[in-house]
Amino acid sequence: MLRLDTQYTIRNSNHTEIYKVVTLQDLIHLGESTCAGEVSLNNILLWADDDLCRLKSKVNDLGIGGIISHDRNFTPPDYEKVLLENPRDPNVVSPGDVIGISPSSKVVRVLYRRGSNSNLLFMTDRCNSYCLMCSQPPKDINDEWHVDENLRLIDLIDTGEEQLGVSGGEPTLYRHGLLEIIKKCKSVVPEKHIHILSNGRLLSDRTWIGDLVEIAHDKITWGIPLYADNAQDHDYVVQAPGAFTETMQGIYNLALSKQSIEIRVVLSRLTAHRLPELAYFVFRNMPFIDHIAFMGIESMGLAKNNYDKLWIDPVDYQEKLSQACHYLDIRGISVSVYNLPLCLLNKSLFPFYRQSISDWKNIFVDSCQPCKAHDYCAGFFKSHSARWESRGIAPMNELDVQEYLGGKYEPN
Amino acid sequence: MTWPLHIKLNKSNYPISVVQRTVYALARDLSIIIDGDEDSNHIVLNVQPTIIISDQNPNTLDSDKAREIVIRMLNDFILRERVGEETRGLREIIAHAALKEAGIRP
Amino acid sequence: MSYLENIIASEYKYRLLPFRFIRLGTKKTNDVLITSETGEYLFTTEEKLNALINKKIPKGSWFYKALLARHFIYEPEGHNPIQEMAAQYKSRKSFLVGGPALHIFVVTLRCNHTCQYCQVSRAPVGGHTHDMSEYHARLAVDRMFESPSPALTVEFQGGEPLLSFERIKQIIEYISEKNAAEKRDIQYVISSTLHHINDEILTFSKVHGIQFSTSLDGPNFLHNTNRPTPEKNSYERTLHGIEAVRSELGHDNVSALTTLTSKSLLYPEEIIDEYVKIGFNSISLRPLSPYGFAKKSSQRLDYSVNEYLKFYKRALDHLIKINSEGTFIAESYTSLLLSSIMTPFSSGYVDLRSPLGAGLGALIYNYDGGVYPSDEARMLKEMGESDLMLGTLDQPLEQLLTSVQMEILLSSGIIEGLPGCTDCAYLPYCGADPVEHYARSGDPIGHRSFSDFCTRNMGLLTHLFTLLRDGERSTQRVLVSWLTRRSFNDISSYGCEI
Repeated sequence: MLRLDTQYTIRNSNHTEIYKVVTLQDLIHLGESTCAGEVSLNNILLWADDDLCRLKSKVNDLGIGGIISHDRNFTPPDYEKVLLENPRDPNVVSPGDVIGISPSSKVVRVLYRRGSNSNLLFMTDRCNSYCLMCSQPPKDINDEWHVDENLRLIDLIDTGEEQLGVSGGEPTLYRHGLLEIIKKCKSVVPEKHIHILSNGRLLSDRTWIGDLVEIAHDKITWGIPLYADNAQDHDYVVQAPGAFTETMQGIYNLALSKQSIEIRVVLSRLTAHRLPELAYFVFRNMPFIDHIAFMGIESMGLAKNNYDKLWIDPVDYQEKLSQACHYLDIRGISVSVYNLPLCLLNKSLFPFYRQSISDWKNIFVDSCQPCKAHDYCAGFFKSHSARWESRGIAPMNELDVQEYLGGKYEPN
Repeated sequence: MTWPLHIKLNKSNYPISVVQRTVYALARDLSIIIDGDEDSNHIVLNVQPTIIISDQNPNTLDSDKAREIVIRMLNDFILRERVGEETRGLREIIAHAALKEAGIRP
Repeated sequence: MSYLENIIASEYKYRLLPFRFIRLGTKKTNDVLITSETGEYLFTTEEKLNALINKKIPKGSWFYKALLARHFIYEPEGHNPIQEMAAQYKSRKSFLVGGPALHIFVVTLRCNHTCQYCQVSRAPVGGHTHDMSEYHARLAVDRMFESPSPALTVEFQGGEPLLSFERIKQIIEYISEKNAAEKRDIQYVISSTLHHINDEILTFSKVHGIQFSTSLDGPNFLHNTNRPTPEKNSYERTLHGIEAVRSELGHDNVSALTTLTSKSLLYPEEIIDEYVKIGFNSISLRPLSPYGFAKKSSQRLDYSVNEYLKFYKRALDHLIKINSEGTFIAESYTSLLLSSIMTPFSSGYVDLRSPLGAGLGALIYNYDGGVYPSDEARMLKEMGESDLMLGTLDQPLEQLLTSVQMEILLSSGIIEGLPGCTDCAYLPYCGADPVEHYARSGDPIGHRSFSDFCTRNMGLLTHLFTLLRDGERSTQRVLVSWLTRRSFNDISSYGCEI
């Protein structure tokens, strides 16, 4: 699990900027098409490999943004462009990544990682809900600058069919910016599937329908959390009265805009007891959704403070989870289960299990050492601690793994 | 088994619409005549088992059971009337909203 | 509740949404079935029903949340459920959008059978006086395309339609020609005894993806008794026809239905076993209609609704047993009732709709140029009562559907406004059949207490709801397997009704 930021010694940086890290070979052979969109060479940082080292004396002449070097011995003399050296963690940045730096800070943020399955466009730290288990507590600041950064980021990323997320906080808080980003994705990276995480509340405004229909991006999925089949329980989880009504309206408006919708349910003591009822409610009232995801809880951020309200041993909700999943699956709605250790799952749920959403979050604990299912298990979140650990954690053997891979469902 | 069965009802407890719906619903098995009383606060139901259409053997339907059936049906229709009063107009609102979404102008 | 609790409860009183209820008539305490405007349902007790109406259900209790979620109550200061209720309602009534989708062409009355219950005044095999003319055939196709429905089902009936195969060919060719510009999704079905199937017919059918529907009343002895032919071998020839269609067009391109006479009612297991033996994955156990020769010979063929329901329950038990042992065979009417009960979707079945399916969802084009709202209306005319003919093929569709006959049907064809239906808990799952009521009693509205149509549907629905409430896991799994058309083994017991 690889982090998304590290520190470098940075020279000659006088403004906040984002850069694509490119090898000399790629620059020569691909030129600007190493990026998806229009790019100025000023936004390119060359990766200091052997090829570049041979050009050491000539680097000043190259009309690029700068150089990133992991080689202590590589220091171009009198270099005037941006220079990044001495990474604290040399694994974090690699060729193909897009990074962001700011003056008077050593922090280098990875905004896009080549080959990752979980790249996302971060929109804002602001949010209009205050979920009890929020892993990223909202900040009340003006950070609309993310929109511009993302618009420029889209130009710098790779082409390719991997998924691109849009997340926050609550992305719809910057409505105009979000719509611009969707439009730009359609124009620059139309092959990418965009996965927008939103609580859907502001989408209760019907004027969104016209805007979305006009853009007509046909590869978006909106991931909308719904925590209960009634307002009282849902609003309590998200700590916002009226949220259930707004989210429901948002879902219908998205359906009218012909958008693809995914319902997301975080599994906690507040949601587990009515999972089957939630499944029923979704089927009866929004059978048009494309997918539903049930997700283990991340013990980060506000979740830590609300442990008593939220913690339930996953072993204790497997029955209800099974009812919810099978009910929907058999009625034609696609189901996934994420972010739970595989050993805790009812066997009948194996076909719905997805290893992970993010490749930068999983770890394993000591008990996992002898387990044969490492390659398939989501493991734990980095933020995991003992009080969030199920009593059911136990290594799986070869037979268990065969059963998982067999995928052949045997009803009781 | 005493036929015909007479059931006296207080008009304020059992409005005529409730009585009529009850008579309609039970028509297969019970033939009921609604009579006014001298005392205008009451209605009297004259109940006989039907013979012509009913599958029930009239000999097995005794008047005590019939009384129970009639009272229960009356009370059920009272409940329905109460639901109807409170929800008056809502069915039309729902249907209107549904058809509007479908682009059908009423 | 204590005095204080009472005050608090009254501060947060919920309001009722329109709902209906019925007693299932079993000995269980949760014998009351309540159904909401959306067609959702709950089982409850008499006490709870009273408490519900008297605003005594405690806020936040499990039952309270179920009532909210299933649209029996709402909170005036809370969530306004109108949007999702309208969405469910719209879905249930989605058959209204698009116009008639089922178009039945009666291409001939000639037939080689002399079935006692025949709903058709049949004509002898030779001769062409009871065949549809080319002129009328073309007009009928023109009428059909005046319906805006993007999907059209074209069904050929008779007599025995294959005796008029040239006409069928001509009709299909003309449809294909017009559809090049119209671009509708068109399905073809031929309802046939299959006795006159031949290679030419099979080849043509393969090209146009034609499906076949045939009659199989049960094993040999039953089928041949019900459906006599001069050679007394209807059963054998039907089987031969089924085999021929399967080998040329595919196993599932022919389906079958039974017509039940009073003799049939003695043999539920045998009829079903016959269907399993022949390899059908669905069976339609439909009762006799009060039309055609059935009405005339009603003494020997007819049976009461209660006798039919007894038969049905035995048959259903047997079907459930067979399914739970691994063979998929669904009863089709049951499947569509289950779909109404357990999903918010409308079925394709025109005979159980409100507003009625006759005319609005289906049209019949008779061999003689008459246009009818349903096959039953056509049969009434054959019996000498022509009141429900909408008009003739030379009239545009708009005129046919605004005819006096259609108005009569509409004014008696919306159960939400019919006496006896308006209060019935089964309303969301039921439909209007003014033509049957007119045929049985002379009045299209009918009297619910004396309506066989009503008694039958109520009997079936009560039985199904009782199974849903009380049935064993394996029964529940079979019902879900029919709903989803998946095999029994694919249905986890976790996937049953919630």
